[in-house]
Amino acid sequence: MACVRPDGSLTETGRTVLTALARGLGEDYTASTTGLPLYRVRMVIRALSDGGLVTAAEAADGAASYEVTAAGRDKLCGGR
Amino acid sequence: MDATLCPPRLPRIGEPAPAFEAETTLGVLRLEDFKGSWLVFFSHPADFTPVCTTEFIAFAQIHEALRAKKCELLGLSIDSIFSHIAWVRRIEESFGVHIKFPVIADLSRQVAELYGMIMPGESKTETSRCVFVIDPKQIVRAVIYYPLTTGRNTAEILRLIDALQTTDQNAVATPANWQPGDKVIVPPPRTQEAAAERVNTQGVECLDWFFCKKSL
Repeated sequence: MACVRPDGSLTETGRTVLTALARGLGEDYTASTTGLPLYRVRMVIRALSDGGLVTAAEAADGAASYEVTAAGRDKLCGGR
Repeated sequence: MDATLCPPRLPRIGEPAPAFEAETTLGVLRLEDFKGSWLVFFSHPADFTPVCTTEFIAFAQIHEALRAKKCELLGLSIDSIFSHIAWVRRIEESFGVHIKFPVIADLSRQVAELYGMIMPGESKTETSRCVFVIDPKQIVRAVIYYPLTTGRNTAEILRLIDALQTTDQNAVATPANWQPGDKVIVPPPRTQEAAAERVNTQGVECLDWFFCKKSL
């Protein structure tokens, strides 16, 4: 997974995006607040989702929303 | 699909850009990740070659200007991801230029063939110097093809983005050698009545009923 190092710790980009998602930000706000290009945010979210750290849901207005899984919170809060 | 019956063809202006998923220097990327942004998607023949190196430096130098226009950059060549990583690191070390845009490692040639980037008359194993300008709805808006021998003009690519965005925002066309701030072309009338009205329209300078310019 591009955003997780071989030792299981999150890369800086992975941590930045996962933190934003944990705060309830969507992809657009994550991009604007982190300074990452939107395409990069989408790539990282997909990688986090593939790794079981994030799940996607569709909000009432049709926009994509994301929830950090227990495994994702472990990664964030475990400092790795 | 039988490739002999249905050979791959170049994506055409006005058509949806072919979708793909590919490994890049920034991770796995899909074309749809760029939805909502303009995209300059370009190919180069090979890493660690001189003309390509000058082009990467030139693209890096316009990267921030493109991003200010809500336009992203994406490169591609038929090289491995390790070659890409080594080359961009070498560019940074030798030239002090940081390559921040993703570069597709298309060893399988899947994306190159999807976009008609290989010109067998030039090379069967390298992409030519192709540029696809893709709009926020992922429609191909412009295509540029240059040979292996000739580096591209990145100022022209910037100008092209300005021209296309000006067209989209103002429903106008741009004349030859147009630069931002120059007068734009008012689309010609398509009926006699409209032609008669056009030459009397305020704010429009007409040399003939079909040849009218205005300032934005």
